[in-house]
Amino acid sequence: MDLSACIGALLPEFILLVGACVVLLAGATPPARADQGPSLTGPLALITVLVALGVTILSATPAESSLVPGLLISPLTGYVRLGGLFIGLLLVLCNLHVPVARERAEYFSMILFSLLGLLLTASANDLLVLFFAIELVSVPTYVLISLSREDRRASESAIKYFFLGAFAAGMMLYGFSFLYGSLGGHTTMIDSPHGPALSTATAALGAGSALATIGLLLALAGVFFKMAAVPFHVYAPDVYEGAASPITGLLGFLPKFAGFVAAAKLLAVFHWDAERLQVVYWVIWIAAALTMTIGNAVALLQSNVKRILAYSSIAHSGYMMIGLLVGPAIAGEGGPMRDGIAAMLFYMVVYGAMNLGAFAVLSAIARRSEPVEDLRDLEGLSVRQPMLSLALAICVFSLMGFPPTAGLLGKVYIFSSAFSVGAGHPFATPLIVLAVIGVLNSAVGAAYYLRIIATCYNKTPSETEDTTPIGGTALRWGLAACTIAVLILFLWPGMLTRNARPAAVAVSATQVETLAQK
Amino acid sequence: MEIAGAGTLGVLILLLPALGAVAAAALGPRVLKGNSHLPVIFGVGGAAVVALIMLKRVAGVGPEALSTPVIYEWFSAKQGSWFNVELWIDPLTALMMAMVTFVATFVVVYSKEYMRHHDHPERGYERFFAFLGMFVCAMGVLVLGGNFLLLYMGWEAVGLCSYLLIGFYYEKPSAAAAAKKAFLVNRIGDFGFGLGILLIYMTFGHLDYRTVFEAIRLTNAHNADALMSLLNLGSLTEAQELIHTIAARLPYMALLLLCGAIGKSAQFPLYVWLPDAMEGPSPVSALIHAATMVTAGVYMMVRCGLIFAASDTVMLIIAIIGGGTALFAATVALVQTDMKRILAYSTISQLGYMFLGVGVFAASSAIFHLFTHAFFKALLFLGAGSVMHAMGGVIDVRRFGGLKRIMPITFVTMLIGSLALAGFPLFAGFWSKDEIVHHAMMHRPILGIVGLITAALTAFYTFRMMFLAFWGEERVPEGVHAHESGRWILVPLCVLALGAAFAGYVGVHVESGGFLGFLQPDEDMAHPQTAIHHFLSEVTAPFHVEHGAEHVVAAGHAAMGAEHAMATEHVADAVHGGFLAAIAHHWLMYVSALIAIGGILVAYWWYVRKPWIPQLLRSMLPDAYNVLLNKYFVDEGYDKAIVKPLRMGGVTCFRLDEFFIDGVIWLITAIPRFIGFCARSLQGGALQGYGLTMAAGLGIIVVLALLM
Repeated sequence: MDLSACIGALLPEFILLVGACVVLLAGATPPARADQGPSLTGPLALITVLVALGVTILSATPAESSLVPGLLISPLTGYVRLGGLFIGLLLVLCNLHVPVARERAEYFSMILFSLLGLLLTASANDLLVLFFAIELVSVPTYVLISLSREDRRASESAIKYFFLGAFAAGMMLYGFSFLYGSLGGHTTMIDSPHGPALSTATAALGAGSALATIGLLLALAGVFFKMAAVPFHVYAPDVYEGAASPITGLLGFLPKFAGFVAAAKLLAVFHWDAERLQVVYWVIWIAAALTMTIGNAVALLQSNVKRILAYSSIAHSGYMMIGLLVGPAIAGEGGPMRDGIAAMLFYMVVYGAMNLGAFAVLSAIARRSEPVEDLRDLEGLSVRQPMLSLALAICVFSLMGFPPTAGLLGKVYIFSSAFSVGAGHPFATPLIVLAVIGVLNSAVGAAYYLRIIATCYNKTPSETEDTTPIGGTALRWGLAACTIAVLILFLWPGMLTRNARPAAVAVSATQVETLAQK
Repeated sequence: MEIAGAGTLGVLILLLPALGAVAAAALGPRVLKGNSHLPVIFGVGGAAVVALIMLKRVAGVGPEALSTPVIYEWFSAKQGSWFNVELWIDPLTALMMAMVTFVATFVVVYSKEYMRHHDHPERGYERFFAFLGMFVCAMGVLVLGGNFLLLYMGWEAVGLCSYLLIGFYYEKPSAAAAAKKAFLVNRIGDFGFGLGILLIYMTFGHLDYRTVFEAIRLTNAHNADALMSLLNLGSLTEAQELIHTIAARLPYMALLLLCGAIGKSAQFPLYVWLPDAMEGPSPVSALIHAATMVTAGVYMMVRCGLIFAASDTVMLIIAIIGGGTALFAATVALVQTDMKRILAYSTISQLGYMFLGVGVFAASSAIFHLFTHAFFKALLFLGAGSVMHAMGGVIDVRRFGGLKRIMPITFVTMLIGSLALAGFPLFAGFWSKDEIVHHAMMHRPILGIVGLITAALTAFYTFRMMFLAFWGEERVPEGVHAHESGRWILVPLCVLALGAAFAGYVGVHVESGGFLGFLQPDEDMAHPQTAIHHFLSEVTAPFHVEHGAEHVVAAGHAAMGAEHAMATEHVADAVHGGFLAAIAHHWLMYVSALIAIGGILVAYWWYVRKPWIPQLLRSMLPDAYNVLLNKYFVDEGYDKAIVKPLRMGGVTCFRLDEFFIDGVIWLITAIPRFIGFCARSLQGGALQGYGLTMAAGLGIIVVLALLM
């Protein structure tokens, strides 16, 4: 294997890896005083992501290539690089002010490692690589949560997340071992020149094997944890509440994105065969319905904005699971309005921007020198901080799915992809029912989203004490970028959908079969 | 034929004002402050320059100029069909856009001084300019947009800007109420408009002008083959069925779209919002509520000529609404005393003329009138604003007078505008109004006479306003230091006065020699000679073809196919170009000139020479006077017939809602809340509990899997 070709194919990943190591090393020399620290690490991380994003944009969409054993570079990799690094840029911007001086190096290198994990998840073609990639997303987040605040609550939520994450990782590995055992001892997922793979074994499986099905379900259970889908969502509110808001924005994006990409890859191994995978499809169906409903229902009862957004994050996973169930459309047919995976990929990036924007506003204002958390803290924000208030309103409107924001298009894509499933699809009717549940849920969701906006705009502050802006310029630039991205993606969704469509084709059943015939 | 660089020019026209607006909004409060007008002046002015370049290029290509650049694909609707951000640039677009940006530039310049008091910017100064820039961009989307979706977006966006600007002084209850009224009344029209667009989408499966218009053309030609390939239909029978469907649905589309036009262009019965809209600052009245936004309805009808001209009944309805509104609004304007309200009713009346023009198949005359009207009506509103500025906010013509010497430039420019509005020979309004009356006379003589009567009333009320305000002894409201406005106000007035005087000459033969030839407007609309009609001949072709077809059908022929369309045009020629028509036209022109002069003289006689005559009339006919003064009690009627019952219904519903529906809703919402409550009880906060939940969930999944 040619090393330079290998580096060329994985250039953004290598840039992230080198950048993360350099940032980490920059913190190796202990500072003279506690409040001093490597101040260059933040900008360095920013530049790393920027360069990686630049390389991604400038290079052509990667074609299918299994140059590196265990990895399958495909247009999906290209899309995840684009979306992940773009949101990653906003994440670093919004996080620049968070860590205390002496922990900056660890903090930013962890963000970069987590991003690297997401990118590797997209190209993983081996169960073990997939596992390591997903854990590379999650492990740094445990560290990030505890570093994000000097607070017992942050440590508590880091610990909780760590233990439950370990449990989920255990389930996933257990599932992988079932797949390995029941499908002929392969770990390669989709056929490659390096050897036979699971996808050939599943094609030959006939009526289906209970062991393989259970293996897939266990693996999906681990993935559900990353997505915060019911019943593996229980950690989310506590963990999200405990972390500093910008890190909560990160938690709502990186593990979730990795989870959805991994789920799509696992289902691709089984050729998206709804007929044979009926049990699995029903489990996802029920989980999606419950995820949406429980997420929205509990959010209605909250008064803590971070918890509201945490439950809303659960609900949004439910919407995206509709796209996952619809699956990729056959090559050459329709845009994201017919292609569940393309819709899901689009929604994920939009969600990353709007969710981060909402959380970034929370970390941009302080009351009694604490970042705001409660709805009451937002009262009269429109008067005191009109621009922040506007940004929050736009992001929340987008979460609600209101024009002219990209959130609307995301929902339209997801729901219409479910409605466009042909009558021949064995899951046609349940999918339409699920989409209806989704539409009803977005209506329920509007209730608590509007409550946030109404609190900002209609209520006058009950107390005289003022909120103070915190967080500095970088956070405001990041916040502005999130808001503008949400608006621009409404006007010009083609920027993402143009790439999302080939990415979805890359995990479609036909593509898997084409690769098998090579 | 394609226009060079059309896409770039169009995008620039949209972006420049938008960027100006964003800059004013973002930098206004902190950085620019009193200079917030600068980015918007540059943005709108730049757009005007670009629009003039576009007009020049389009004129260079000729009437067949048409570019439909796709800027980018917006989102896919269904298989193979995209909603695009696309433009439609043809002579009509270029003319409208040049007019809009040109007038807007001078309105923005004017506002720089108008929106200050004693040289201090008013509160919300940057907000005002940001909205103005936003409006020009929205109007650009409406006019330049290449599909019905963008048309609708622009349509609603100009409505939003109008709402925001009418309510600019939102702390004043009357302004807030007027803004609300404008918004709600427009909602009624826009509801129909939206339904019309939905019907178009349901019928054609596309919303872009190119496909829709082509499909209608093919329907008219009964060309099922081409329609099948155009719309990707499955079979020829499907295409033939679709032809019948389209033919049957076209009148309904037209009627639904007409609802929108009636609301936006303030026609009977939805005109009630426009007089109240005068609560907004005068530049807003000039730009949005006189020159540009309110003419969007006329623009839309001409743009969709293929849909409207398909049904004779619809055209008759348009003509009746137009003629009726013109007369009705003119009578109300006779007795009003608020200068801006007089002008508002006059705007409604002039828009009525434009509707009448469309309704009698003289679409390019309607656009011609739209074009001239923009200049003189914007001028009059800006002049009224200048007076209001000088009079310390007073606009009631009873409270001042004899301003001729105090405000000489405002006076002269307003006089030019009034002459143009009154249809005084050789001024802009004369040419365009005369054409509409002429065509009305040809097709619907009764409406032609209505047009003539309205012309007389127009001349009278316009000069009543002028004589009351500028003649007689000098009177100003107490405590006001009356003064002529500064040059930021006067320069736009002078520029627009030039337009009011000379804009009409785009519709007049120049080359045909001789005085009579010089005065003679086009008669044969299918083969026009004059600049503007020749320029618009392709755009307004549907009106002439269809109209000819109607005559042929009446004669017992079936008009089908392209050759037949040609033949029908000849029939139309025969009808239009007859000897009788020529006589009728000359006769009409002198009559309408006399009527205009007569109206002015009567106003002079009554309000300058013998002011006791109107007094006497008032005391002799108190009922008639009261009816007019109270605008035929239409607002009161609406209040009684619609608002009150609605409010009653609202109260009833509210009661019902409070006790019954709220209860039901509470029960329904109890479900998610109950779910939430149950689910929340899982959130004990203890790690072991969470682990247990996850394990239990996993167990259920695996058991489910094994059972199934």
